[in-house]
Amino acid sequence: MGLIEFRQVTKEYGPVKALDNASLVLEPLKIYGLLGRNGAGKTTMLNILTNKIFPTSGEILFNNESVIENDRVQSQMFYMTEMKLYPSGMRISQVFRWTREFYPQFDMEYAQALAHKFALNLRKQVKTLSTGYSSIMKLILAMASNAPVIIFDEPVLGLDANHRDLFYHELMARYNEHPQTIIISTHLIDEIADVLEEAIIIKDGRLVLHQPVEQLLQSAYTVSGADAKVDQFIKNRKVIHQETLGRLKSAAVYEQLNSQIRRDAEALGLDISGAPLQKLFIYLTN
Amino acid sequence: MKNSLSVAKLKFMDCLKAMGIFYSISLLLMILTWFLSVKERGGGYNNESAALIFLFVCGLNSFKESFKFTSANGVSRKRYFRESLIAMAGIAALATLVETGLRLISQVFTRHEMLYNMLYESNSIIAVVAWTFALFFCVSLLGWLINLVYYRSSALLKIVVSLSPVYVTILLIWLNKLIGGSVFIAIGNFISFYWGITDSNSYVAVLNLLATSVFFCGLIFLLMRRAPVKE
Repeated sequence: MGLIEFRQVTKEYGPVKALDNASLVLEPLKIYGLLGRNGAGKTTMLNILTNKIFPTSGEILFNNESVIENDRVQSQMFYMTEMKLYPSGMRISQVFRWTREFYPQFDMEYAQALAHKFALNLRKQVKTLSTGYSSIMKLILAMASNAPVIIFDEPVLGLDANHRDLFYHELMARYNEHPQTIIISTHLIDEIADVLEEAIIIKDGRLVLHQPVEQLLQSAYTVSGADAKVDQFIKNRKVIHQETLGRLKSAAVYEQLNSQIRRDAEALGLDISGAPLQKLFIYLTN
Repeated sequence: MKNSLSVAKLKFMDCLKAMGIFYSISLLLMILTWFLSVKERGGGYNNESAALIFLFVCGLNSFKESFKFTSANGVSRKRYFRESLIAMAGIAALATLVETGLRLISQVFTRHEMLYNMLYESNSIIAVVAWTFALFFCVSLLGWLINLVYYRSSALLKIVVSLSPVYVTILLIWLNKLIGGSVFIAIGNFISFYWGITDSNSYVAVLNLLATSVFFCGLIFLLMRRAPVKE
């Protein structure tokens, strides 16, 4: 039995179908990656789940209860959205206090500790925050909310490499301590690949794939070595990406890796490694 | 389970700050009026009109920001609507209380000209409080409704809505000319009835204002029911 269930959900904006008959089941206590190109329908899906907008047809269930206008269900989810929904004149400390009003399990101590780690000044007003710090404030709210389901939409928008690293580290530490269901929608796939358990790929409003990341990564591999040898190896194989640097070449092949393939590659003096999730994503969404 | 009345608390606190500033200025003006009336003998002071505008603006400003913020915190539209009504009733009640207090204080020093006294003969405190509350509550709901209409409208519809008082007025003038002045007479009669001026009975106005408030609530609910959250 799934925790969240999308049943044939469609969202239309005039003649445009932002979400087209999408059906999906999400299990509890897993980390999901919602991946898709710009305008694929990821944010629409999350906005419908959290009642920011309503579906044209279909239903969305949370523990078998409809999510639509359901306060009990909505209080079980915290959605870190890209939208600017926080009062511009409010101080961060006030935002924390009000969030605790709505999410009584909000961990104020943890939120303050995170603010300290990210160097977020709690006395600042929301309107004075840069894009990066605005994301940080929302990340902290989401992580400290202690809601059973946390949804991140582009969580690292505007964050520098250090802060992104800190976020992934804190997210995993929190998850290990208090397992929750986490949904992350992002473009930075390679960075998040190690964090995700399952990948959901959406294209033109339709779900094209829902698979454990490990299984997905096994569906392709990268072979590298001398260009002529690589060319010989990839002949008649489904190549999803190739790069040449001088006389060295690497190619990502969409094919389940087995011992015969390994032997063939070794025979040609080629190296074999796993394919990056991002390359697979580009292949699957093109 | 979420804390109950958090939305009402948020909205009430939001207005309370502005109300504090407004009534501080009102008090200051009242003192100034008192000083001037001492010199000029017999100056009056009327704060209700300003309070009415203040509550209308409160209603106008109370929607968008709090709706977005509560939506970010998983609050349903139904709950937002319910608790916003509680907050607005609370704000109207507090404003009524302060106005009554100001009236009692100012009557000692100046000739206090209340809107109520200009319309009705009765001077019962219960009638004044009921009338002021009903008026304040109705006006703040009107502010909320107008803001919501704009929030739900497209750019073109916003222009149409903004211009609607102009063409309604033109239409009424044209109709009045066409029927030989009976439209304005009917409007005048309706206003007299609505405000209970005909019988000098403020309770008629209270009932009409509350009925209007219920009507506004219905419209607000319909507009809120499927309102999308947007920046």
